[in-house]
Amino acid sequence: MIPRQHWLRAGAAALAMMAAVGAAQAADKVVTIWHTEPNEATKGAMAEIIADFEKANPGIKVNQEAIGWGDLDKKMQTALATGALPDAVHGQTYVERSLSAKGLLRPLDDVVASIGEDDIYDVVKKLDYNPKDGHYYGLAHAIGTDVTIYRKDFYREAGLPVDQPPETWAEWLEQLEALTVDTDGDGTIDRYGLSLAGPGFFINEDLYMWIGSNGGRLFDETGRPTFTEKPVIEALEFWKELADCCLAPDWLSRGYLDTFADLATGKAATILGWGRGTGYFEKYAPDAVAAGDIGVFASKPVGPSGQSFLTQLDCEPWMIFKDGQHPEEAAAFLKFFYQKDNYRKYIQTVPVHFFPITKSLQEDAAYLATPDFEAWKFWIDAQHNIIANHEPKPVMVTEWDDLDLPFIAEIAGSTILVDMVTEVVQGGKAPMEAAQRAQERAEKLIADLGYKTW
Amino acid sequence: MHDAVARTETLDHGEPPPRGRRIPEHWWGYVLLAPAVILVLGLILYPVVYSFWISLHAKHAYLPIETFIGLENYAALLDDDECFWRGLRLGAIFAVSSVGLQLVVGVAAAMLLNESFVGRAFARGVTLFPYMVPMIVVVILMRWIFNDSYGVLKYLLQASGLVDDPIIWFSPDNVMLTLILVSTWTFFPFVVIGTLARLQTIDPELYAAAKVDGAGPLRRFYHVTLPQIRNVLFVIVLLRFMFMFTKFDLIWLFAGAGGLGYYVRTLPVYTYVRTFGELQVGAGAALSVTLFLMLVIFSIFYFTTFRRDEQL
Repeated sequence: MIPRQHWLRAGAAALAMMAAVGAAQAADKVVTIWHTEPNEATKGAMAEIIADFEKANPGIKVNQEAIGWGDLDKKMQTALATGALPDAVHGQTYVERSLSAKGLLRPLDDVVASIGEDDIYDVVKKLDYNPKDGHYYGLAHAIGTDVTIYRKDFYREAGLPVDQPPETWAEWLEQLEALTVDTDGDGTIDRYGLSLAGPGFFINEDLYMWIGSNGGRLFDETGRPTFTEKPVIEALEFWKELADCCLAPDWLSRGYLDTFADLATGKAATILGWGRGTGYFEKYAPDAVAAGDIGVFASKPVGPSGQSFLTQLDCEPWMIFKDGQHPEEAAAFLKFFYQKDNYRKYIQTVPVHFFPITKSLQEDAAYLATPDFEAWKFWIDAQHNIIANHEPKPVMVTEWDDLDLPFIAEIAGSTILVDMVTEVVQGGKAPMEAAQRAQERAEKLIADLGYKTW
Repeated sequence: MHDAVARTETLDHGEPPPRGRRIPEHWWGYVLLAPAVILVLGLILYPVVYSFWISLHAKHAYLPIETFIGLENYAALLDDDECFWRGLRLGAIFAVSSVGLQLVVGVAAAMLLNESFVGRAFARGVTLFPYMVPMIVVVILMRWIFNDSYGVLKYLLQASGLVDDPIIWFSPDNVMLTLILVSTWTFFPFVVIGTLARLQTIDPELYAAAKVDGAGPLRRFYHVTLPQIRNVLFVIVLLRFMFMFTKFDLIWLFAGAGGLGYYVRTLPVYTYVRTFGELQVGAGAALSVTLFLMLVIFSIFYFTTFRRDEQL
C-alpha cells in the first residue's frame, strides 16, 4: 500500500506542475490572424510558418483562422462593431483605406522595410501606400490578375486564330458569336461564346473592368458617381449585346466555379477568371489540359471610347488593427511571414494564382522550379505581362485616387450597380434609364453616409 | 382566523416581530413571475425597442458614425424607396403562394396519413423528413436536383417526354416559382403535424352519420373534415404566413441579393442588404421595424376578420 504522504507529495507536485504550465500559458501572447485561404494546402503552409515563428519567438502564440473569402467582410464588420478584433486580417484594398482613414490600423512601414521597399512591385506599393500621410497601412499577401481563359480547340473549330486576343469589343463580339454554336445539329445552341458568373460581386467586377476598358470611371474627382456618362452607357449596351448573342442564357444563376465547369465541359468557349482554377481543369478536363487546349489571353479588349484595357488585380492586403490585443507581435509575425523561405512556402500552395509581391522571389530558383509551372507557365507569363505593363487595379477602382473614396465598400455591398446591369441585360430597360436610377440611388447612399462633397 | 387576529394584535402592541418575518402571500406571485418577466423583457421587448431606437439614427454598421435623424429613415422608405415596395410585393407573392401550396399539400398528406395502411408509421416519419433537414442542406440538394445541366429533375422531365428542352429553373422568369416549390417541400410537414393531430381527434361517428346521409368523399371533406380542422388551420395559416413573409435563409442561400436575387429580393433580404451591404444599420433597423409592424397589423386584421367565426 502506498503511504498517504506519498500521495500528498505526488498531488502537490502535480498541482505545482499545473500551476507552472498555467503560468507559462498565461504569459503567452496569443496573436489572432484571419486570412482568406481556407484550402488545406495554404492552411498547412501557414501552420508550418506559424510553428517556426513560435519556435523563434517564445512567449508568442499565433492562431490562424481561415475564413471563406465571401464571409470575411461580414465577420470583420461584426468584429469591428463589437470590438472583438483579430490582430491581423486580410481585407479588400478599399476597406484598408476606409479603416486607415478612421485611424483603426497600425502602419506597416516596418514590415515593408523588413522586406525592402525596392523589392516590392510598384503596383503593390501604389495599392498600399497612403500618400496623404506617407504610411503603408496594408501589404498584399499575394497578387494575381483576372484573365480571359479560353479553349483553343473551340477556337480552332470555329476557324479563329488561336493565339490572337481580340483587341476591341467589336472583335471580341465577332469571336464570341462564332464560338456560339449548335454542336450536335439539333437546332439548339449547346456551346456559348462566354459564360459569366451571376452573383452580385462578379457583376460588379465585370462592370468596373469594362467601364475602365472603355475610358470611363465609376466616380469623378469629387467622388460623384458617373453612371450616366458615355463610357458606362456603352458598357451596358455592350453587356446587352453580349447577352443577346453569345452569353449562356442562365448566366445569372452561374456561380464562379460553374463557369469553370462550363469551360471544362464545353458549355462555354471562354470565361473570365483567376489562376486558382487550374486545378479544376486538371481534374475535370484532363484531356484538354494534356492537349494544351486551355489558354489565357495576356490582354483584354478595349471599348469604343477606351485607349487601354483594365483588368482586376487580386491584392487583398494584410492589415493590423491598432486596437487588437497584440499589434506589435502581429507585425513581428508578418515580418517573419514575408521572409523569402516562408513566403515561398506560402506562395507555392496556390502557385498559379498567388503571384509574389517581391521581385526577388520572382527570380528565386526554388520558386521558378515550382512543379505546376511546367504545365501553366503561359498563365504566369500572361499575369506577369499584365502586372508589369498594364496597371491592373483592385475591384471597384478604375483610377488610383478612387482608393481614397471612403464609400467604395458601401457601394460595392449595395445592389445598385448589379441592379443596373440586371435591369438592362435581363429586364430590357434602356441603359440610360437604368443608369439614371442607379445614379440617384448611389448619390443618395453617399449623401446618407455623409460623404457627399459635390 | 383567530391566530391571525391574535398575531396582528401582538404586533400592534409594539412587540418585536417574529424572526423570519413572512413576505406577504401575494408578493410571492410577483417573485415567482419575475424571472419569466425579465426573460421576456430582455429577450423580446429590449431588442424590439433597441431596433426602434437605432432606426431613428443614421448609424454605420461598424464605424463610429451615429446621428439622430428622427423618423427620416421611415419617411425615406415610404417616400421613394422603389426597392422597398418591390420587396414588399415580391415577399407577398412568395409568402401567399408558398403558404397556399403548403396548406393544400399538407392537408392532403395529413388526410392520407390519417388512413390505415401498411407502413403508415414509416410514411409519417418520412413525411416529416423535409422539415428536419437543415436549410443549407436543402439548398445544396435542390440546387443539384433543379440543375438544368445535370439535375435529376431535368432527366425525369425529358425522359418522360414532358419537355424537350431543359427548364432553366434558376432563370429570372422561374426563380420565384422554384423557391415557392422548394419552400413548399420544406415546410409542408408543419401543416401535416398540426392537421394530423386534429384529424385523429375527430369523432368517427360524424363520418358514419355523413355516409348514412349519402355524403360522398368530397362532401364529407367539406362538411365534416374542414369545419373540424378550421381552428387548427387558422393558427397554421397565421404562423406560416409570418414565417414565410420573414423568410431569409432560403432565399439568400439560393439567390443572394444581386443578379438572380434581384427577382426574389423580398423585404428580409433587402433589410440584410441595407444593413450589411450598404452598412446602413439605421436604415436596416427601420426596415425591420416596418416589417414587424406589418406583421402586427396583419395579425390584428386576420384575427378581427376571422376570430368571430373561429371562436378563438
